[in-house]
Amino acid sequence: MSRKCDVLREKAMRGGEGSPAEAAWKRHSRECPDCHAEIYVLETLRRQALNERMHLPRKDMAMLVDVVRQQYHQPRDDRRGFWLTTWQLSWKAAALAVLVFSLLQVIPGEWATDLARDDAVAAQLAADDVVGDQNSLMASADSGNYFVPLSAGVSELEMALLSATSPKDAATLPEVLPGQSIDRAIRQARQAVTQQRVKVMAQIERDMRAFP
Amino acid sequence: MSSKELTNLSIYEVQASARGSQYGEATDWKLVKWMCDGDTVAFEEIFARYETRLVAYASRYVSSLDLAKDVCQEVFLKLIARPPSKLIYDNLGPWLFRVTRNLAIDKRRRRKFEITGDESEMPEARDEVNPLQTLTRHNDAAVIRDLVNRLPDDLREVVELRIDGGVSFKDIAVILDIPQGTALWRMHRAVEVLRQQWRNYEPQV
Repeated sequence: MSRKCDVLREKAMRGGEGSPAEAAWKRHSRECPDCHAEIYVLETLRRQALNERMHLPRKDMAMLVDVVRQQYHQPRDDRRGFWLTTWQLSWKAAALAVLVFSLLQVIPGEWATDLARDDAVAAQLAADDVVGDQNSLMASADSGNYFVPLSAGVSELEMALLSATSPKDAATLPEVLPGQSIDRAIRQARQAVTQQRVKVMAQIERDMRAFP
Repeated sequence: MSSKELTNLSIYEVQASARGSQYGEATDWKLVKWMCDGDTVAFEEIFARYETRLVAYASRYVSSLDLAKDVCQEVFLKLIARPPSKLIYDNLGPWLFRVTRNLAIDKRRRRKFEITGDESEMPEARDEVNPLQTLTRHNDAAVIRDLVNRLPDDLREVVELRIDGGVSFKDIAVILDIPQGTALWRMHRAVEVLRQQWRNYEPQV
């Protein structure tokens, strides 16, 4: 078996029965006993297969066609079809409407509640900013009420941690992280500090007025 | 048949006649679609394209042509009941041959069990007698068929699909879930093995 035989056989197989490549292989097989044997084997198998390619009895074929008819020929009842279509469309539309309605009703309410709470906190913070100063964090630490502004970013939290006056203070810092009860406690503490600061400032001013 | 059914029938017939000569050129996928629309002519076209090849292919797995025809009929019933939702290369061949193979193997197994009550003792269509016994029949076709039956499964499957089923290598690759090159290589290898085996028996014939 030479390389040429392999190439010719491959081309013949790719080309299929009756192709020019197969004719070339057959011509070659006259001089090559191996290819001759291969072609003989393949042709014998092909002949055998052709003999076995038989048709199904006509009645079986008719039965199959009848099955197709039964399966896919749907009798059309126009009136029923209309209501069926209407129902199919209407329940989908109704479900969609309910979904949209509930979204419009529920979600904005939730948002409004959340926004109101956020606004209150923001207003409080703004008030604190007016009254307090940039070092409110340190000042409040001095007064013993340790808090971190709600608007604090990661860097401010880190700063607060770095500037903690004692390990105990540093250890309490993680507790100021978000959480409803903690937020409330922080707000209350902040109010107390603000009131105390206002009181102290007023007292200082009054004292200063005593020494013109 | 009621007048309503007659009206419906005529709708399908009108549809079929409108398609006219398109059936011969339509892809398998299109024919399947038409069949699902109730077009029996489309089904007949599919049937004509594959019927005989499926019978020949099934006969390799079951021992008689009658059983092969039963398998073929079941395959088409399956096609009608549950047509494939998508086809590779718009070609129904791989789907049909794969279903045929599965059904034929199943039928062979059931039949063996029905006859013997034991799956292991019944001789197979493909491994019944030894080649020397076959040789006594002085029938080249039978000897060569025996040689094919004795090929390793992976090679035999390719030979049967290619020669008995007349399936292209592209489709063989899809049916057996192997690359096309592998299908081609297996065919080459099978032919080489068959040639060598045939040479061993040839002088005795």
